[in-house]
Amino acid sequence: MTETTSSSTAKVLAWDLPTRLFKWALVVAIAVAWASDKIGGGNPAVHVTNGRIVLVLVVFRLLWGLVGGSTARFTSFVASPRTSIAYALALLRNREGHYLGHNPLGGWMVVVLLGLAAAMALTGLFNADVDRMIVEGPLARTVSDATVTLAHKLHHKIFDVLMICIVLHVAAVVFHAVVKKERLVPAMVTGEKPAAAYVDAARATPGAIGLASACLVAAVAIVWLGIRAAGG
Amino acid sequence: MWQKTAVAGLVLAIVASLAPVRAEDAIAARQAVLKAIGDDIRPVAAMLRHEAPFDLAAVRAALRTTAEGAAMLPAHFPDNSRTGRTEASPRIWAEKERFLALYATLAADARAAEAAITDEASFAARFPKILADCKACHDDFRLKK
Repeated sequence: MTETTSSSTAKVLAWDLPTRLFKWALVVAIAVAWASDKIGGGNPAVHVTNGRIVLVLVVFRLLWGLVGGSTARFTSFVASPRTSIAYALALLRNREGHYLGHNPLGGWMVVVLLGLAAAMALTGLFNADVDRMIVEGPLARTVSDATVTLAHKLHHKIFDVLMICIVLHVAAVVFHAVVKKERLVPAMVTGEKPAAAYVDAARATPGAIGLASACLVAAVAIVWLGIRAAGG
Repeated sequence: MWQKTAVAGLVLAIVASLAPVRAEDAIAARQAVLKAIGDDIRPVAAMLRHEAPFDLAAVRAALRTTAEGAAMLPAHFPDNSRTGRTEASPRIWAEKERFLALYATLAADARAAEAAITDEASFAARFPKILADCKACHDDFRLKK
């Protein structure tokens, strides 16, 4: 392990490149989703295509969670309720263990945010404006008006829940930076954290870039063919 | 004789203009105008999605209906027409200025688009703005069913 000249502490890999690229791509996609709906009456074509991209990103992450880098795998960060509660209690007493990857609560937030992003994209497939003239998801034509109305309601309700979770997520990151002096954003950008006695692993094993590319191609195929098979 | 009739007519006209519009009439009037706009735009929206052949005359007619309708609509939301068989949001009366400004924008954009749209390319470039104007208002001022 070579040490960078500017840093006195050794750095270790925490998150591999595909995981980081996915993470920031999802941030951008969610921002585009909001902007393409709200700014100046919106841009339906961008909004609908962006929805497919969100779906691709989520499917990619699900695949990467099975075969990706060590800290990207669900088995490495989805903690049992018992572990999660124990971590939360330890956190309150300022005695929590430090994690190289997602801590137990952070891991659950990843699961929740992925689920909400998926729910937004899936309800969007069936959503349309009341008149079905302005914006229409690719599968809105395959279902009844009542289903479109339901999808519309869910799309909006889930958005509110997603916003609450994003606020919690950002608040937790700020809490770690300010109170715990653990800067997670640079780690999610560079992929590195200072070497330390982490609870989960000393260093992460990155997933292969070729495998990540294959996951992305598979995700695109699953989403596009899936929508086509459903009649969109 | 004719003077009497003229005076009576004038009095009637003044009374009629002062009499409050019945809420049901205002609601029916605005719904008729909005429906006329929707009926004209529906086939044009299909053209935009390449589901119907481009028809410049139909596009221009829809834009004229939209511009004229947008100019008429502000008069059809009197204070007494907040409730009834309507999807009009109470926010219309709480934010009347912003609501009316959206109709002004729609009317101006529809007139500008009618002048600017001469072929399928200019149609594809200009028409989405009209739908965006519709959506901007529906998002904030139309109640969801």
